[in-house]
Amino acid sequence: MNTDTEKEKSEAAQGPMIPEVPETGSKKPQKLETSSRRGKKESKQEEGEPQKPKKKKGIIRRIFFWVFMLILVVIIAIAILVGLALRLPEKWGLVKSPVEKMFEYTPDRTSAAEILASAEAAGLSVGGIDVYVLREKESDQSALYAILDSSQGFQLNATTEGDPFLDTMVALVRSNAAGEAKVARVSVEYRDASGKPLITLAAPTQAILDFADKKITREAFSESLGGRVDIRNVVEASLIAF
Amino acid sequence: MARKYIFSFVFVSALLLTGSGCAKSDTALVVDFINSWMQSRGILDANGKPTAGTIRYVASGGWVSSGDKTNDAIIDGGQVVKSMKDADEKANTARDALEKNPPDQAAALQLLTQAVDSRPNDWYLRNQKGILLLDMGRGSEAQQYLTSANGSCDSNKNPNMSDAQRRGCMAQLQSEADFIAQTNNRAQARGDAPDCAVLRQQSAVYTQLAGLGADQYRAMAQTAANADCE
Repeated sequence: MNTDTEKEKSEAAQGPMIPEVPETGSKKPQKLETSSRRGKKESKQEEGEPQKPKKKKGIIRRIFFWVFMLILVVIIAIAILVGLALRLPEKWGLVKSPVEKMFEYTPDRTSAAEILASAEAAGLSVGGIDVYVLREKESDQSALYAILDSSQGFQLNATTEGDPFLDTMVALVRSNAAGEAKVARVSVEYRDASGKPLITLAAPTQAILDFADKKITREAFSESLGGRVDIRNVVEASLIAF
Repeated sequence: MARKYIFSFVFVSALLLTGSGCAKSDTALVVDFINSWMQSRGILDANGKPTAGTIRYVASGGWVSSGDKTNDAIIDGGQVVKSMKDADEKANTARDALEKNPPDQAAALQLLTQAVDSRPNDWYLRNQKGILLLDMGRGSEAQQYLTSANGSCDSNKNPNMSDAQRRGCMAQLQSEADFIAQTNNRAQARGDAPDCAVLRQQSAVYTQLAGLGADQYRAMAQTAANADCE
């Protein structure tokens, strides 16, 4: 009994019984695993310190890349908006401008000649005046575009009491030919002695006739006048004129 | 850019003030008008100096709206007129080439082709190209230009023609009819029978002239349609 109890005590102290045969075989790979894990850990620990800045560099690079891309997109968007505002696609002939679409049909050359002839008959000096009657698309109305070119001999009638520039506009629309061609609006472009455009004005025919008949004041007429002034050409022309 | 414009305004204003006592040239009168118009539209003040409106004006690229979009569109009509003028000049040069002895038909055709390409919906130009092709004996090729060109002068297809447009169409069709008659005369002088395509076109032109009110062409249209051709 004593020997049995001593055996039991010694077994209890040694731990549970472990099979003998697989002991050596199972321990070896366990040792290998632990050594390889340790190796990795060690290598990580060794390489760990220089790897951290690499990660940071990678993140900074990515931030720089996306900021750069964002700036690029913003620049492209601004360039497109500016290009559209300056009507570059139309100027480069990539698309038809609204005005080209509006007046793409055959101009009314006969009416243009008749309007010019009747303006001359009414006392307007027509030298240096080019008149075009443009038929509006999807409408039975027309628009008159006149070029008053000083370099081609156009002269304003400075002896009239009113404004010679507006008087020329009036003379062009006050004819039966303009009425027959259904001229609904008029644009006049003035070019100086060197042929450079200074101003282009446009007004509805009715407003011009009302102004001529003194139904509306000059101020009211000015309000209905749209236009474009070429400031650079005006400055150059002013230097020569004064 | 804006500073440059504002400087220009001040500069022009100063010139206007200093030059106001002199006898005025046409340019001075126009500059005077520009100044008064800009004042009335609030771009310059009563003394001709820039205002807050100047900034809006400069920002819009030197452009002032009349408040009516359709009316404003014609302000840009200059670019349309330029393309018309360029095309017309090419057509005139083509006519000069045809008046040479011997006529330079190839050069004329090239110029008219360029003119038609730049303004494909201008029947006046299409018409001239068609007539030239007829004269060159390329009747079937000419047909596409003449048919398309005369379509806009067809009173059935275009009933809302103004009197001026009607007169313009008649003038064009008559010139075309004359040219076709001359072409046929040249063929007969050579001892050839008139080209069938040319005769068909002649009949079409006469029919359209009759449709526009020139009744004397009705019988001639029938004669052309019934004529023997090759």
